[in-house]
Amino acid sequence: MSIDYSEKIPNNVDLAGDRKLQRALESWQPNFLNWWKTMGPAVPTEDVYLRTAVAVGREGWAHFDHVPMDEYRWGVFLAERNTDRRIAFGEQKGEPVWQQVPGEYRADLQRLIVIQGDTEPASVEQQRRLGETAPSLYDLRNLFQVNVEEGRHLWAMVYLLHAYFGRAGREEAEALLHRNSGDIDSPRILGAFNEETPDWLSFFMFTYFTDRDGKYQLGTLKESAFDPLSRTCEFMLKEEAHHMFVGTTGIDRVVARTAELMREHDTDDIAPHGGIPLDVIQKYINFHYTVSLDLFGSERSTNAANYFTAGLKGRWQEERRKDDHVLTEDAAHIDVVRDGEITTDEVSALLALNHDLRREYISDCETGLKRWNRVLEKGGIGRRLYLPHVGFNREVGLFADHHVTPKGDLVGADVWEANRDRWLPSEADKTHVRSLMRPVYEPGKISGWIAPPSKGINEKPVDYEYVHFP
Amino acid sequence: MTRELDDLILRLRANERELGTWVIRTKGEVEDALAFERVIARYSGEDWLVNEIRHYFKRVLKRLDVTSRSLIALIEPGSCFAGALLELALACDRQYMLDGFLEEDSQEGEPAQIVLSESNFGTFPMGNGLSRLASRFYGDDDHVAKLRQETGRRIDAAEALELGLVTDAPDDIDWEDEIRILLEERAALSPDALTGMEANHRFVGPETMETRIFARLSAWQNWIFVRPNAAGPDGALRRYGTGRRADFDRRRV
Ligand SMILES: [Fe+2]
Ligand SMILES: [Fe+2]
Repeated sequence: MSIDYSEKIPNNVDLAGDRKLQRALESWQPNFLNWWKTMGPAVPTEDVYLRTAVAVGREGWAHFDHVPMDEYRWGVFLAERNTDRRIAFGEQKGEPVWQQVPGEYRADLQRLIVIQGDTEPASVEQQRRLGETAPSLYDLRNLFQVNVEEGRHLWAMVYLLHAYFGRAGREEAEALLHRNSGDIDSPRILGAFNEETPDWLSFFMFTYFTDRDGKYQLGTLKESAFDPLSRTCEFMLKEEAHHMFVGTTGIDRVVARTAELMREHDTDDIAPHGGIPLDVIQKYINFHYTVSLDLFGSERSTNAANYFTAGLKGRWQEERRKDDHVLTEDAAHIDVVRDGEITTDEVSALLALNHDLRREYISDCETGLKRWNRVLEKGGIGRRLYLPHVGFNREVGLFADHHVTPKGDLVGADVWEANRDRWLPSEADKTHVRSLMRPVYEPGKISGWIAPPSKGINEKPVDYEYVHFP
Repeated sequence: MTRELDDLILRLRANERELGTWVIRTKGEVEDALAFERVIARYSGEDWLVNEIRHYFKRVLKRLDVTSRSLIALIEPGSCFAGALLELALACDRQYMLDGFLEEDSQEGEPAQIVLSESNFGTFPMGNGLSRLASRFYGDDDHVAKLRQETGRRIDAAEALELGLVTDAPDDIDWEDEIRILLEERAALSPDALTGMEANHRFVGPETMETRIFARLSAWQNWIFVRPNAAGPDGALRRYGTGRRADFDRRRV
């Protein structure tokens, strides 16, 4: 079904044919707009060159134009329905997928959707002030694109809550607007989403590492036996790809500029020359990668096992896996710390599903490192960036009670404390990065700490006026 | 009606053991229901047949109280949960009352209403010797006294909810989904655990010979834990923490 833009709420779910639901969503809409105005991007703009979804098919799904941000057409878009789709895993494997929420799983499904939904507006709130220090109009536009789409992802989750979870769902949809990132009284649900994104290096790291966690969570929900959730997540993943792109190429450009300055001045210490030293980039990677690892939950998890058995949440690319998709007879290895050593334990594969997803995520993260190291190589720099050991700086899971170095050595609290500033961004590092954050709003111009992009958005030139100010 | 209901209860209990949830509805004029019970009240002292009918209805209600099934009352437009018949709803584990009309139904007549009468304050005691309302609001005599002042008048869904007479009062937007999900949710739980929980919730307060048999919390707890649905190889206790779901024997005991 095509997207209906004549309605108040653009959608491809025939909202006009369901008056009750339409009424409910239309009464949520002003609250959303109010949230956007108070918690959304802080920099006033006239309009922004944004893409808007116009179809959900493979080809040409987006339309680009200058739009005032609060007139952005947020809506409800689900991937096409496959009427033959069957449950791919768990106890009910092979049965037709569900078009309604089975009462048995109402509480669990609602919880999964609320947790996913909570992260979407949270990241908008975290990035609220970033526009004030954008390194270029191109970057400012990308930030806003990510922001409006995270707003749309909130719509996606709110649609599910309104359409399938009755009064409780509507109450949860309200609560998604009342919790706020970093709010002492009603914070966002996940810890990582209550930290402010203070600078653009953090923003690129966030979109690379933390948004990528989101991608993997969406990937597991895309496998869900609850078909509307699956179709919602499938389309969100399509939008999410751009967010990954912003992170990947953002870090590309920081690394390229760093390499350039290192060569130019023949020193590692490029801070005095207005660059971000490679060590600092590494420390930011160490930090953002490990807090994102925490988002996958404990390595050993009965919740994840129950969700899988019930068909609520699958594995990454479930259907491509070559096993029985039930996993009751399979085993898996997870890392444990025993007698002062990091070793592995064999557990039922069902209990190791978080670990399985995290492994997929880690190997995806490695592609970024390869990429950035190629940039260094091409720039004639001998040093390389790396991902720290999976046990480093963890606060969730089996490593939470231990101190592990980036290289993977178990150490005592004293060694950890003594080296913390060598491994994680120190106050001085953060202060330096913040000092570089000065806005550049002139078309085609770029801040000195980052290289220009190789090309513009949607075939437009790099010096295109992506954002107009009032 | 009493005879048919008694017959139905026994048939379902004996022959349909896997039907773990019963939905109770009524249909008819509220005024007729109240007129019948006025006859019963007026003549039960002097007429042996009327007296027997009253006792018979009391026993059938008690039969519901000790039925090991989830009992759900749906109170909809056109129903007649008034006085003695309201006891049917009060005997249930949960009561859902539609607030207003369903959009697809004809909007004629009155929305769902319930009526309290003298019958709800001791005419049909439970096994614990209390009325169903006194059991429901055990320890809150003031509220029961307050309810007594509400007798004889029609109470709509919102007010019934406020007075604590129904579990919930969804409107047209939520009714269908809410009821479907509630029934499915209930049906997915361990039948033994439900039987134990329901038995405990239905009887409160003073211990009588009847409640010693049907309503002792500790006895039910022990029973639930030794049942195959808990302790058996596919039971909930053995499967707990493995990520696999318990396989329940759905037959109610
Ligand atoms: Fe998102
Ligand atoms: Fe995202």
